[in-house]
Parts: sequence; structure tokens; C-alpha cells
Amino acid sequence: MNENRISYILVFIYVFSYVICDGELGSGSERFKIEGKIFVPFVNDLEWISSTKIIIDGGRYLGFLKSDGAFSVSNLPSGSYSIEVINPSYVFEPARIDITSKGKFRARKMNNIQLNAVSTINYPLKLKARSRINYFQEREKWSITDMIFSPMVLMMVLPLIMVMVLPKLINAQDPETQREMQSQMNFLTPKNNIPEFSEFLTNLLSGGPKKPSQSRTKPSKRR
Amino acid sequence: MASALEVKVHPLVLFNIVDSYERRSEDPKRVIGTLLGIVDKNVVEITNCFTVPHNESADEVAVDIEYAKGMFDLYKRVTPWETVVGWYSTGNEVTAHSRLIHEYYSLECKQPIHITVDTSLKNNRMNIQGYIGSAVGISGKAQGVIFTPLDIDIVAQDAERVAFHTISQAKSLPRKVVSVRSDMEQVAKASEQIETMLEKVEDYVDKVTKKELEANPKVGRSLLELINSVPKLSAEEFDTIVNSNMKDLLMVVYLANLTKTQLMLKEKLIHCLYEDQVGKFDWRQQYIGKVQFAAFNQAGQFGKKVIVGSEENVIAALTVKNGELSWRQILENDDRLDTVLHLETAVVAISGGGKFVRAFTINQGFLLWEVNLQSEPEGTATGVIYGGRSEKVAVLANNRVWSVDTSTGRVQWTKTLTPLKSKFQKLINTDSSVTVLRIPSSGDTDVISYSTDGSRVAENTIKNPWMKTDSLECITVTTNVVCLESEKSRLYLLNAAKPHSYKEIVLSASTCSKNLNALFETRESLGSLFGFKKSSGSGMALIKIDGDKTKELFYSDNIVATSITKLNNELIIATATVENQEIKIRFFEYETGNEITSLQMSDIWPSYRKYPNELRVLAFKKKDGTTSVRVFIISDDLSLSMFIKNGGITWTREEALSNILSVEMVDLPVSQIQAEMEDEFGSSGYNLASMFVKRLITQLHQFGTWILHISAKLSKTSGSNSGRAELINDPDYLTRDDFNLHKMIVATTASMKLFGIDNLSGQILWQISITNAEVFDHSGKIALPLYIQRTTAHFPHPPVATVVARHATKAQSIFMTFNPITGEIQGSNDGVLMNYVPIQITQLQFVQEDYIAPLVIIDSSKMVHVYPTEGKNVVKEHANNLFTYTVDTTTNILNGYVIMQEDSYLVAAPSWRVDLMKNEQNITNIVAKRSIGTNYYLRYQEIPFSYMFTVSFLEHVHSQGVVLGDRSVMYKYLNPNLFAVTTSGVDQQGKSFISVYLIDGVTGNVVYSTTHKSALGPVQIVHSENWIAYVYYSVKNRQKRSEVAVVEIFEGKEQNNATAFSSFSVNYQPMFMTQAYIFSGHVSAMAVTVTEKGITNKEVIMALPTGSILALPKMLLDPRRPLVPTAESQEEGVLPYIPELPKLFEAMVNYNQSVYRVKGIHTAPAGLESTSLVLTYGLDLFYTRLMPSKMYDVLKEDFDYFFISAVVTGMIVVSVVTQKFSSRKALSRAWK
Repeated sequence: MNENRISYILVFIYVFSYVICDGELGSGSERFKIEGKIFVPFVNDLEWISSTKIIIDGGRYLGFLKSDGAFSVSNLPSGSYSIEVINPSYVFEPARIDITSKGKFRARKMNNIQLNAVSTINYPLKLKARSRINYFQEREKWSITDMIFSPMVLMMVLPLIMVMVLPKLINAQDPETQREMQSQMNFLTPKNNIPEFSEFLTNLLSGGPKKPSQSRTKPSKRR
Repeated sequence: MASALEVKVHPLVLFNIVDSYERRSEDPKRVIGTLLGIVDKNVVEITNCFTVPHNESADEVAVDIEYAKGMFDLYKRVTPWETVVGWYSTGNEVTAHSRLIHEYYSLECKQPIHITVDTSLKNNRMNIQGYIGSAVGISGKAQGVIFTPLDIDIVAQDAERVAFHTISQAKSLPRKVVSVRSDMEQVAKASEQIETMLEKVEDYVDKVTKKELEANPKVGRSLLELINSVPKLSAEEFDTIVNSNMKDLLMVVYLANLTKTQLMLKEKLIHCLYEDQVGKFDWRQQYIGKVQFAAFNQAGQFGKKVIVGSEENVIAALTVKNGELSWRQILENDDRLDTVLHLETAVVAISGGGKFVRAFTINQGFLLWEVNLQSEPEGTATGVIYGGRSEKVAVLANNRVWSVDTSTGRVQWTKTLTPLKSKFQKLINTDSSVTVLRIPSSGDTDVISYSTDGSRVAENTIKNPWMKTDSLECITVTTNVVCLESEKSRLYLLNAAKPHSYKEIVLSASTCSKNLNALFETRESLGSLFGFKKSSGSGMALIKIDGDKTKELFYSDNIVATSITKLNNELIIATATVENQEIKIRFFEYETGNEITSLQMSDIWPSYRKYPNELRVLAFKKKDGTTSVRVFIISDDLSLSMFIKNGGITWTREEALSNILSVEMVDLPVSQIQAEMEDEFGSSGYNLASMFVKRLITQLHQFGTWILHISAKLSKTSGSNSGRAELINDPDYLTRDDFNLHKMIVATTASMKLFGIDNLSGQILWQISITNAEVFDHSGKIALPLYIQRTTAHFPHPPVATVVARHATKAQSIFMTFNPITGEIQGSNDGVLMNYVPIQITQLQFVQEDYIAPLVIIDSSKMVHVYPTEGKNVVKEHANNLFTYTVDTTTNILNGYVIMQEDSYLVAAPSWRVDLMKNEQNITNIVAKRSIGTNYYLRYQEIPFSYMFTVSFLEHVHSQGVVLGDRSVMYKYLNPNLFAVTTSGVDQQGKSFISVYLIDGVTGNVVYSTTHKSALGPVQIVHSENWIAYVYYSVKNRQKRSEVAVVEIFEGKEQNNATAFSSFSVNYQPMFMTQAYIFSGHVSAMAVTVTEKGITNKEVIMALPTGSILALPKMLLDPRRPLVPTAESQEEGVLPYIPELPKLFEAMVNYNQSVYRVKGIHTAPAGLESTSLVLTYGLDLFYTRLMPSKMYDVLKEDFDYFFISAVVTGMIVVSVVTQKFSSRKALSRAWK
């Protein structure tokens, strides 16, 4: 229900704007002048002024800035014009200005997709730099925390800690733990009970099993 | 009772049953399972089922009851509302065992239903039969079960139905793969279905009302129900509801797509610079153009400046110190800069015939004021500063005079004069008043003076002494006007301050005999001095005006330019002479004409600079009493030089580069060592032994050269930094580097000057001026074609390049052949003169014996010439197979020719003709695909362009097709002979349109054409591989925006010509895919990247009037971008469609190095496949490297070599140490 209402409103706006835009924009013989002012709020020096220019309809008409940032573009017949502020360092919002043959001005935001949509802005234009343009990509910085917390390093370091530190925590001299470990070892390596194929072969060829010697050598090796 | 039961089965159940039957293990012949569903009174709805494993033999049956219970419990968790309603089995009959199973299910639910599904497909039908079992036997002891058949309805929910329909589509497809259709398609299909159903209903109702059919009350009732279920809405209301919903949907889709694309672009597609890479592999050079107005200015806070105004409508301030731009203002493109006036702290520019008068501050170039004098001016305007102390600017244009206050920019007064068609008009500053002097084409000279307040002071009409006005040449010398009637070679003088009558200037007999025929104006308006000189070359007489008398100061054969300046309130004259590649500036006293020898200065003046054109001199006394002189020289080759006394020429600006016409990037030759190495493999006639010996010798030799090389390098580093001349002579500098990134940029300019520019530094390494030549000009489109006839790949043959120009006066052409690496001219310095004017020049892709690719020239009489003439044999060899075409923009007729041999001559025989209707439209662009040595150019009479067609396609296309998401291949239509023509015109309704044609150059077939209504040019177009992309300006509904359209051409799913394309064997219609995008902003030039092998993605480079150069991935301009992404498009990686092309700042490859008035973009491949070299030219030059798919073939430059080597060494150290430790430990253990 609510959704419906919103869409009604949208439709209404659309229709309304269309009606407005259908006003006459014919070309009379009279010439008009667009005026405005440019601000760059975050700098103090005026260096930016000489590199800033107003271009209308992609350079058909030009406007130059005075030292206070004001500009005027004259000799325009009535019609609809796109206004861009060009500066290599700052972003400005483009605007569109409609001038009727009676000399009425209307400034609005540029909307290339819905050409008829209107959201008016004040005339004479006051265009403020939105931000500094960032043309560049940020280089990834090397930092120690990134390095330490990277999965690869974690994967390598943690097992190392396990291997190096854990045996130290357990008192290896304690005979009880020694026995326990021994039993664990034996449990973990069932190899002792299953003869290897190669051993089996050697046994077979040398004639007769030598089990006792085998079981004696094994644990010593492990140590 | 039992038959009252209604059974509804959902399709899922049936699918499940069939599926479990298909997956059954070998042993049981049938599958049984539990049916789940909902029982509502007498309606049983079966919604789900699962298989129960069982075992059957002749006498017993075992069902895994545990499993069935477990499964049911699990299902219960998911869908708690479902209960066991019965069981199913496959097969078409109820067997004896069924009773047992049924009995078990009777325990699970009250009235189990049994369904048999005949999966054996008897009679090709899958019979589904339902049964209800009722016990028979004596009461209390049941003996058996009777299975009573039941009717079964198959019902489906909406979602199930959709799925079912989708699945059933696969039935007819060979690969049994279907994709889920998008919502939009679903809706469309559904509405189609509804329509047919409604038609059916209508038909039925019609028949009933006509009594052809009997009414069925059941149908009637459901019809009534149907009608009641539709809410009462008017058509419009309904529309708005649907539309608004639709809009919401579209908005959501759009936003989703936008976000997706934006993320993808940021992440993957756009190669973006790091801040520390600035200037590492790019450079920019800013120019002014052909300077027309220049003056020194010393008032500036930031040092002395030269204020210049150029033919390109640019005003700039150059620092005297190093010639760099202090500031630059680029005025309107179409409004000519008429006059530049210099005030104390400001410079006034009058442009557009008085349309604009603007004052800029000298220090920083800020606008002081601007006035708009008239809106539709005619002719040019002149201006002057007058009024003594209270400086005012007077402007004369279109028979009107304005006076503008210089401090406020306000127009003080305007006067309209009697209309006169002036041959010469000038404003002259005459003592606090301004005098308008007009010499009409017929009638007497009109002189009117106005004072500062606009009152008329004097008015005179003076009788003209000359016979004819058409060859009249006049200049102003302070308040005097000097006119030359060239036929009689007489000079006339008129003082505008006291106009009485013209006075004839009598020259000495010796001066008269020198054939002087042009006037030279000194523009300083200091002393009354002017020059009388030869119209070309050197030789000038200096003449001083003293009151109403004239005095000849002197004549010299070597003087080319003169100027006048003030030194300690004394006027001095400066003259420039050029002799034997040396320039000399000599100074003379104004009063006496005696030379001041102490000031004389000289320096080297290379012959390519031609002659100095104008001088500006600044002379002043330093504190220590010495005189310092600075001379600013504007020369014929458009260069600007600053000549400082005791310092020589300190800087030179090559303004010719502001008007580049063609560019090539030439590979540098391999180094000596490498060349020898290659030489080793060159010849094949040796046996093994001699080869071995040769190898030893070359390697010894190589060693020797290497030693020499090293020693040379060592000795060089001790010397200071090498200059330009050394660079070019250094054999190591101009050799190919590992990745072939170092190239020579060869450029031809409109001022008949050729440049060789180092692409790494932007330094000019050599330059050539062509004398007596002109560019080819066809209705404003100028060209100076450049061809690389032999590349550097053919060692020991040097590379060869040729420039073709028109003779300045005769109907002849000049072919200048030179080495593009060193700039050495082959043959005479004037080039080779040919007795014809080419209308079409094409470079052949076949080479002669010495690897030179000859040029084929068609002249206006359709005769074919070959340059160099030895190439004729190659052409004859391929005669009848060479095709070319010409485009005539004056008639819009395109002609195709085939080169044929007639006797011993070569002629161009017409083969096809296309008329593009001149009365409707004008041809604006002709773009062929690029071959490696670009060869499209202007001809003299017809228009730009030409191309020779051969079978080989030189732009490397790596992949012949596009692999789609469903793994099939769309083959590209790679017709190398295709060229695109764009036209613009106005249709019958008065609306402008643009059209695009794709024409096969061999057969003349128009393969594709399209028209955009309500669209304006200028159209920028790129043509590459199998696509074209073009920008136009849409003015639909009086709303304006730029749009980019892209057309891709495919052969289809089958390839027609795998090996070589032939225009003649095309017997199919290619597929065209098109799409258009909105582009916010305008485009002034467009190009596409090229790489060595064509594997790397392409990027479309756009130069914008805002000064940015935008590199957009071609992927964004893909006509197959879907509105709603499908699984297939996502798999293929096609971006979803969004109407507006993104304009990311990260994609602006020239970051803050803005370049203006870009006329062309040249791209060239580097040795690295990932890299494409780009040069944009226009008023400014910008060079950079682009990596459209990022750098995938070399390590990134920020690769951390230190880190990786540290890790490796660390690892080695650790392993060695631990080995030591472990062995020690093992030893100590062994001792235990």
C-alpha cells in the first residue's frame, strides 16, 4: 500500500516535470548572459582561478573567471545549455540552464538520464567545488601488523610455537609423564605390530624372524 | 463412500517417484515409498514423498520400517503440516505383496492411499492410478484388501507450474539445458498466454450467445467468478499502477546494476596510476600556436614576460627566463583573435570581429573585465589604445566604433559610421583622440577623428592616388599610413593626424633595382620606421618617416626582420640577418643610422628554422652600467626563440607542434651487438664447421665490442650530462630496449616541418623543414601524409619514411624520403619532385626486394604511379588483385578501383560506385580499420583517405570469436576491407540527423547503415576488429546530451572463412548488435588502444573538451550488455546494462595534466603485450602508456625485491643453523 503511494508520487513528479519542461524554448534573436560565481572553499590562494574555465555545451561558449571567482557568459540565444566548470584539481557539479525567449532563467541540476527531470538550483549560479579530485590509486602500505596477521604467517608461526614451547611446558624429567608419553607414542605408531613388507621379505630371505632384535632397536631409534 | 475421496497430486511427487525409479539399485524390480500430504475432509493433497528401501522375493517382502519412520520424522521437522497419507509403488498393477505393505501403512494413517506409477511406459504413457484399500473378510478378522481405483487430479502451485514449464522446454532441445528466464520474459510470456486464453473464452462466449453451443452452467459460474475477481479500475488507473510498479522495478534493477558495475570497474577494469608514478612514463607539452602578437612586459611581479597571442586564439604569458608558460587562456575556437593590445598591467584581447573584448591581468591571467560589443559580427576587428593618460580602448568593426574604459570595461560611446566596404581599415591613436581610417575598395579614403568623450573632432575625405585597389597593401607607422601599389611599385604616405593628401615616397635608384615588393611593419609604434623588403627570402630597406618626408636609412641583402626599441630614452633599431646558418642581431641608432657595434650578437641558426619573421627587443641598462639586450624571435617555422646578449639563444619553443597532422611511432633499431647476433642466423649456405668458426668469431667480436662499450660508458660518466646532439649520436641511446617501449615519434605538422621526438622524454631529436611545399587541403581538412616504408626490422637496411606534400606553386607533388630515426634526408634536401598531383596515396603491404613497401599513387587522370619506381614490379605482380577507393566529399560519390596493367602502364579501373546523395547529407568522417602502418590520408582533390586492400589483416586480432556463457562461440566478422563513413544532414522536417555506413571497400557493398534522427555532429568514430563506436550529440525533444553508440558485427555461430577473409565470397548476412549509451560531456577525439598481439583488452580513449583524457574499457561499450543479467551473461562476464557510461576520475589517464583542443590520438603497440603507447595531439601534446588489462606480463614496479630476497636468505640461514643445532643435539643424545 505504502509502496503504491510512493510510486504514485513518483509518477506525479514525473508528469509534473514534463509539463514544466514543455515550455517554449525557441530561439529568438535576443542574446542573453549567464552569470555566476565559483568557490573553492578549501584553499586560500587564487592559483586555481587561472586554470578554471566555464564551458557551455562542450566549448561552444566560454567563460573566464575574475579574481573573485565571478564569471559571465554572454551572447547566448535562448535555449537550454549545459554548464561545466573545468579545473584539473577540483570537482564541480555540472548544471543546466534554460533560457526562455522572454529572458527567464532557470538553473537546474544536470540529469542526463532523465532529461526532463527538474531539480532547480539558485540563479545566478553559485557553484562550489565539491572536493579535490583524486586521480590516483592508493599504494598498499607495508605494515608489520598486516604481515603478522596474514594467514600464511599465522599458519607458520602457530605450529612453530606448538613445537617449540609445548614440550617445555611439560616436565620431561618426570618419570610419570615419560611413561605416559611412551605409551602414547606406542599407541600412535601401530607400525610396531605390523611388519613392513621389506622387513618381511628380508626375514623371509634370511630365514626366520628376528622379532626380539627388531623390537629392541625401534624404540632406541625413536629417541 | 470411498469414491467421494478427491486425490490431488503435485508434480513434485511424480518427479520424485520417477527419479527414485531411475536411481534404484539393480535388484528390486520396483520402488516403493511413502506419500506425504494434507488430508482435509474428503480431499487428499499429496505434496511430497520419499522412497523406502524394500526387498521382495516370491514369498516375502521386507520393508525398512525404521528408515521410513526416520525419514518421516526428518520431513516433519521441515514441513510439520504434512502427514503420511499413503504409499506408492512403480509398476502398473497391484501385486500380492501390496496387501502387506498396505497393511503397514494402515497403521500409520487412517485411510492410506496407494498410487501406482507406470514407469515402464507401456503404450508410451505413464499411467498413474490411485487406489484406496478397504479390508475384506469377516468382521474382526480381516483377510484381505480390496483396492478400489480412485480418480487422481494433478494440481500444481504457481511456482511449480513455472518450473514445470521451464523443465518441459528442455524436452525439445538437443542438449537438454534450459536457463531460467528473466522476470521480464516470464511476464511477457504469461501475458501472451493470458491473451490467447481470453481469446478462447471470448470465442466460447460468442458461440454461446449465438446459440451455436449449449451454455454450460459450470463454465458460466467460473466466468462470473473470474470477472468478480478483477478489481474495477479504469484503463488509465490500471496503466499507472502497472507503470509505477514497473518503474520501481526498473529503478531497483538499475541501481543494482550501477553498483555492480561501479565496483567491478574500480576493482578490475581500470588501470589506475599511483601518485608516485606521476611523470614517470608520461609527459605533456603545452603550446600556443602560430604567434601573431607579441610584446615584452616588464611590469609583472614575477619577472619579465612576453605576452603572446596566436592564430589558434590563445593568449599566453611566457617567462623570459626559460620560455615556460606563466599562464595561458584559450579563447573560443571559432572566434578569431583579431588584435591583442598591451596595457601597463593588463592585456586586451579583441576576438570574433568585436564579439568579445576581454582584459586579462598580466600577472596571473585573471579576467579583469569582458564586454560583448556585437553578437553577429562580420569581418575582423581592429583596436587601438588611445587617450593619453586615461587609457581607453577603441574598437572598430563592421563600420562601428566603440570606446571602452580600460579600468572598468564599460562601453563609453558607440558611433555608427557610413557603411563602406573597406579594403583597409585601421584605428590610429592621434594625440588623445582616435582616428578611424578606412580605404574602401572603390571611392576615396575616409578619415574621421573622435575625442575621448566621443565628439567628432575632424572628418576628411582624401583622394586616392592609386589605380587599382585589389593589389593594395597598407601598413601603419605610428600615425602614418603607408600603402604599396605593387603593380607600379610605388609607396604612398598619409599622415592621419594631419590628413591632406597622399605623398609619393621616392626611393633611391639602387634600392629600386632590388625588386622589393612587400612592406614590413614594426609593431612597437615607437619610431616612424618601416621596412621595404622582398616578399620571400632576405633583403630589406629600412625607411624612416620624418614629418611628411621619408629618409632611407640603408639597405642590406641579408636583413630579414627589424624592430625598434628604447634604450635610455633613445630609440634604437634592431635588425636580424641570417647567413651561413648563423643569425646576427645588429643594432643601429634611430636618429643617425650608425651601427652600435658593442651590442651586436650572433648564434647558430639551423637551416630548418628558415628565416626570423618578427623581432621584439628589450634593452635596458643594468645597475653596473652594462647594457642588457633580450631579443624575442618569431621565425617562419613557427618557433619562438629568446636571444640574450652574451648568452646566445637560451630557449626555443617549437610552436609548430601545436598543429600536428600525422604521427607514427617508429621502432628503434636493435643495438649493434644484437644485430650481429641476428646476422649469425641470417645466411644458410654454411656447413657445420664454418658455422662454428663464424660463431666463435662473432662471439669474440661481441666480447670486444662489449669491452669497448663499457670503457666508453665509464669515460662518459666522468663527462657532464649529455645534450641533445649527443643523444642522437650516442649509439646506445637510440637502440631498442628490452620491451620495445622506447620509440621515435615522427610527426608532420601543418607548417611543413617534420619532427623526431623521443617518446620517453618528449625531447625533439631532429627536425626537418620542407621548402616550397604545402599541405594537401580539401575544404578545410588538411593533411600531410607520412608513410613508414621500411621499418627498422631489416638490418642492415636503414629505416625509410616518406612524406608527401604539394608543391607550393606548381601542380606537382614533393616526395621527401628520410631516415625516421636520425632525420637524415635521402637525396636532395628539397625532396623528389613528381609531375602529378595525387588524389589518392596508398601504402602497399607487399615489399620490394630491399624490404621497402612501395606507395601506390593515383593521380587526377586515374593513372597509377609507384614510389619508389622500382616498386612497380611488385604492383604488377599483384595487379588485378589490388583494390582501392576514393571518396569525393563535394559530390558524395564513392568510387572503387581495381589496379590493372594495361600494356606496360598501370591504371585504376573503376569497379564500383556508391552515391551517398549530396543533396541530403555531407560526409563527415571516413574511417577504415587500422593496418600496422596507418595509411589513410588526404588527397588533393577528393577527400581524405585511402586504403589498399590485400588479404592479410594487419591489426592483430587474437581471438576469432567470443565465447558465450553457454559455451558456444560467436564468430567475429573480421572484414579487413570494411570502412565506415559518417554523414550529417537535415531531413524534410528540418531535423538534423547523422548516418553511419559500413562499406566493403573491395566490392562496394553497403554492409550496414543506420540513421540517428535529431542528432548532431561532430561525430567521432573508432573502427577496430569487428566493431565501431561513435559519439554524436542527441538533441531529441530539445534536450541535449552526448551518446555513444556501438555496433558489433558477427558472422554467427559458424565460421565462414577460417583462414583468410575474402570480400567476394561473402554469401551470408552478418549479424549486427547495437547499443547506445549516454555520455555526460562532449568528446573531441577518440581512439582505441592497440597492442602487439591483440590479446589484451581494448580501451577506448576519449579526449574531452574539459582537458581530460578518458580511457574506458571496451567492455563497457559492449552491445551485448543485458538489461537484466542472466546466469549466462554473468558467467561470460558481460556487465549489466546501465544507460550512462561512468566517468571515473581514476580512468582519466592524464590526471591533472589537462590538454586542450585535442585533434587526434595516436596509439602504437609496445613490445610488451600489456602495453599500448598513446600520444594525444592538438594544441598540447600528451604521451603516456596504457595497460588496459593492467600489467600482467611483467612484475609490478612496486614488487618488493628486497622483501623476497630477505625471506629467501633468511630461510637459508635458518635451515643451516637448525641443521647445526639438530646434529649437535643428536650427538649429545647418542652419548646419553
